[in-house]
Amino acid sequence: MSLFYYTFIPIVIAFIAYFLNKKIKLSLAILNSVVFAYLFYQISRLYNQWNIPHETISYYMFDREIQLIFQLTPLSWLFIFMTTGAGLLIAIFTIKSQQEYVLRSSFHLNFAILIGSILGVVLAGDFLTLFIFWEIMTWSSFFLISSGEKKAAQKASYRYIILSTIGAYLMVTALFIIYNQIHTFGYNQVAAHLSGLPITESIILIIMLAIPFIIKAGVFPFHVWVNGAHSNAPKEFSPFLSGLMLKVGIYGVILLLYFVPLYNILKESVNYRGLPIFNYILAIFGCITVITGTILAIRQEDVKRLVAFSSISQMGYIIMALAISTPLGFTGGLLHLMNHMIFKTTIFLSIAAVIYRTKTTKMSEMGGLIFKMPVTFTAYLIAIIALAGIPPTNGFISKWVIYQALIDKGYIFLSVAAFFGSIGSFMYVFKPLSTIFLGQLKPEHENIKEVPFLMQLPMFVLMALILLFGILPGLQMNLINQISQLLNIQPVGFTLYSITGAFGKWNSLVIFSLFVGGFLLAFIIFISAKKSKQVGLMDTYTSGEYMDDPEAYHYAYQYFRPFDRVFDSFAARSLTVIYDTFAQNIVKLGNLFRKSIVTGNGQTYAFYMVLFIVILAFAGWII
Amino acid sequence: MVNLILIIALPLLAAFLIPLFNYINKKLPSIVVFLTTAINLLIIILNYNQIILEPVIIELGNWQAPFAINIYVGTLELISITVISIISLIIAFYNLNHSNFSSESKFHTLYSIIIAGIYGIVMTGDIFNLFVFIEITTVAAYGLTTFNKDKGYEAAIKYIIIGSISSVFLLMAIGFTYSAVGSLNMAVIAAASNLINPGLVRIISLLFFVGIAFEAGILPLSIWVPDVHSIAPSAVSSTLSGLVFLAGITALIKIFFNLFADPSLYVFLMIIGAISLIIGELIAYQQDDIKRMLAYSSIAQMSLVLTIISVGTKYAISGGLFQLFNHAILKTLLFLTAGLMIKYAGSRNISDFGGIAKKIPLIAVGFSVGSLGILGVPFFNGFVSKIMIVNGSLNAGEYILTFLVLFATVIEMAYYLKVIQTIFFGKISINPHKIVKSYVPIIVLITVVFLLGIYPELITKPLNQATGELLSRSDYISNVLGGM
Repeated sequence: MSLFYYTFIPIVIAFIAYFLNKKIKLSLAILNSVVFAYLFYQISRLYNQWNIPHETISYYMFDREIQLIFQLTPLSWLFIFMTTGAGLLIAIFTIKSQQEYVLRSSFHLNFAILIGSILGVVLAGDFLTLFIFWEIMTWSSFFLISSGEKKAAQKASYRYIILSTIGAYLMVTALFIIYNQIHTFGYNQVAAHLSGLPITESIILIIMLAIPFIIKAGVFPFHVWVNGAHSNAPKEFSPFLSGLMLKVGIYGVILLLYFVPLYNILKESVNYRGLPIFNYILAIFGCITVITGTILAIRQEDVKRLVAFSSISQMGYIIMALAISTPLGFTGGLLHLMNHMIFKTTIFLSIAAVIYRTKTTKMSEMGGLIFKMPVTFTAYLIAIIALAGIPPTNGFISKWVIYQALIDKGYIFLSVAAFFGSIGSFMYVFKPLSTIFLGQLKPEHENIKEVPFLMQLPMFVLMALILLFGILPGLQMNLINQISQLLNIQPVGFTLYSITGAFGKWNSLVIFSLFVGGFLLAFIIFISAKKSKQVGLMDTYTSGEYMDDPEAYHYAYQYFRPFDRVFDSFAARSLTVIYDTFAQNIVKLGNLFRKSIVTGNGQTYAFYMVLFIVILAFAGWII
Repeated sequence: MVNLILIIALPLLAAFLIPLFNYINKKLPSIVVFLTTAINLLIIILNYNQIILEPVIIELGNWQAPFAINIYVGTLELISITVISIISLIIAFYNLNHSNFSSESKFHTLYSIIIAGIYGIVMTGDIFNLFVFIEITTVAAYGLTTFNKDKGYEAAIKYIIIGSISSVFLLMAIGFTYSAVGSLNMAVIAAASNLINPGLVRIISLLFFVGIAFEAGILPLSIWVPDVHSIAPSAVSSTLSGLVFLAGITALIKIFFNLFADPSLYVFLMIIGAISLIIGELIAYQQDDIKRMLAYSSIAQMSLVLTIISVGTKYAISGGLFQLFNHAILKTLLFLTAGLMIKYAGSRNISDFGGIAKKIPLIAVGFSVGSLGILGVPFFNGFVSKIMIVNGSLNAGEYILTFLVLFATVIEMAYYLKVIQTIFFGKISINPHKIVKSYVPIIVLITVVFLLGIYPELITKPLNQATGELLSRSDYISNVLGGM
């Protein structure tokens, strides 16, 4: 199958299914699942066929035909595989979960277009193709976020699209500045041209090219869209948004840093601690992202917002690892990228399952669901173990490699941030665990059941993947080393169950056996211990008083208050405010124009005409 | 080959016969208008292949060029009249079902006249004839504005005030030109423009600019536009915004590229256009009334076209022209769908359209296709023109202009998306005021949008040819005057 079809099949099928959906309910979700499954199968067969020739489509634009190039590399294979995989799992999840959702058909239409466009972005062989599909991706995801059920979804998606578009326009400007000199958009030619330019000029162009990717990846200082978009998007789309959309931004960063080897271009620029200044600043931004994301995640009362901020902080890890441009850093970044996609999708899906049953996202309105929804609980538990970076899950391995890379090069500040983020993640992932699943069951949730099997299935698959890659990271390393080879990076040594770091080897099989032993031991102690006693939910606080707002007294409310208090002043100084003020000032300017110019009075308008002529005449048209 | 003069003559003839037809059958006038627009499209299609090879010049009364009024149809004019004929046909089709005014036959008479005027502005090769056609168009537009009884008169009065002041300037320009050159033929003036006193040329060009730009959507001359467009029936709004602006810009291009090709003036046009663009977008953002919003958006788009074309290079001009034609198609779609939504909801406020897409999906989709086209989403027609504009302005080294254009697009996005979000995802708050149905015009326009988005060569190839013709004045002169 031609590469071109991978992007167009989902888009075309989406429209057909959209019209079908009017007749048969659910046909869209099922058809999407089937299409994604087919694509997934086809893509998995593409593995190792890296010598598929480029494909081109001509698009007549200025006064010539422009070739849109599609190509397959190990890197793009990784992304298309992940995209269709995640798309398939989420499509299966939605078959059951969207029974009562009104905007179902528009959700699926846009979701399929989104999948197609992401495939286009990563299969693109030149910047123009990338830009075209990048725009489609932005738009379809905008519609997806807007179709969230909460009222704030509209504002969130608005912020998202405006920020994304500004980024895209910076990119298109840079691209056409380059195009006008070399008349091609090809990656290699652009790279060659950039390395030939004076250093300041090329740095400006590189920054313009990089900003859209950094915005999509949700890295400081452009992370302001992430939490609103994630928390307000439809519950089924949040997993994809966090699991994959953010990663497409990372794909762009990889493209710039390694594929268009910026490192070589920037080597001659100002260096700081052995890194080009651009890379170093990017790493610092990554590090700030980790800290900001972590601190803000701990404060949240809304579970989806919490996980959204956690995504921001995890993106910081990946950017940090990629920016330091060492083989270990690259490997760690890519490993964390895959692993984060797996465990963050799991977390969001399990939360979607909880929302599906409880219809709320406030943590203080839930509790004690562990016995009601055991599968969801297990999925969440395993995923947060991975997120916190505890063996034997995949999250540990990737974080381990990143630490190795950071410490190896002696970046103390970055390493401290990474450790801070890791410890912080213990705090924020534990909060939903203890407040949603543990604690006591709310009376209104007495009749809740586990979600239907079709919704459990994706969670099972993802749980299995978390453990599989936690034990056998060699499966991922195999592909990563092929990517490293493609990008001329020295490969990192590995076997099926061990990775060679800077300071030694990690053998996950041994660790896995140890942990299994530990779990068994703990389980035996748990079984043999005395049963715990049930206590009423509000008993400790009320003392018989009447309460206006019981939620505020729930133990989940302001869970980590002492910790939050330390960072209160930090959290108040929000970047969002700066962006909003800027936008408001533009709106005010418009209002000023409207009030002063558009008087609605015929005489004034006639006066404008005369004034206009006089001004023009004296401004140099005549005199 | 069929004589191209027919495409001006037929609507005029129809206009005068319509009262007669109305006497026979009340339904007949709209059918007659539809038929004339269809015949016009047919005539243009029949002539297309010949005109694309070389420009066609028709001299009235068989007098040679300097003496008679002539009609000049080069590639630019050909594309313009093709777009005009397609859009006027679609609007005429729309009018078959939707013009339920008490004085229906008058409406169709005026509509026929305005179409004839628009064709005339685009095709004429004579500046006094240009003035006449502009007057025909404007006067018909005054009348068409008043068909919504309540506020129509106030808007029309404003329109008349500004229109008549402008026409005075236009007439002055023509007078000056005639006294300097001794001819009203555009080619003769073009040939002689180097010989006239350069100071006089600048005065004349300023007067021409003011006289025509009021019909081309440039602030502050076109400040009447929102009042008129928001009050007029939606078929009229789309004609005014899509076609009259197109004709106005085409006339400006002719004046500033064929007649007086003085590159030092382009800077002024660029600055006026850029300021008008930003102000137009900023004010459009403020509007709650959907038709006023669209009207300000039209102003901004026309200013964009003017500012890009006045960059004056090949790439920039073809990008600007493409945007001009895209805008004509998209604004027709937008005004028609907005009009239907207004009828359905019984209100012109955007906030009253919440969730309207559930009730009238095709119309809502039509509106969003139009908006996304204007915003330049890939595979919509606006994408290619936006890319061409960016390429053109960067190619000429106009970095600040590129920044302003893209900044304006971001503001534009902000207000179009407000509408799209409301109609698709807003809370349903509609109690249908009036049931509306319209499939064919919307589907046809959507098809055109995607056709041009996926196969832009349909229009960019002729456009490149048109740009080439615009930039070689001597060819134009020798074509008309026969190597005189």
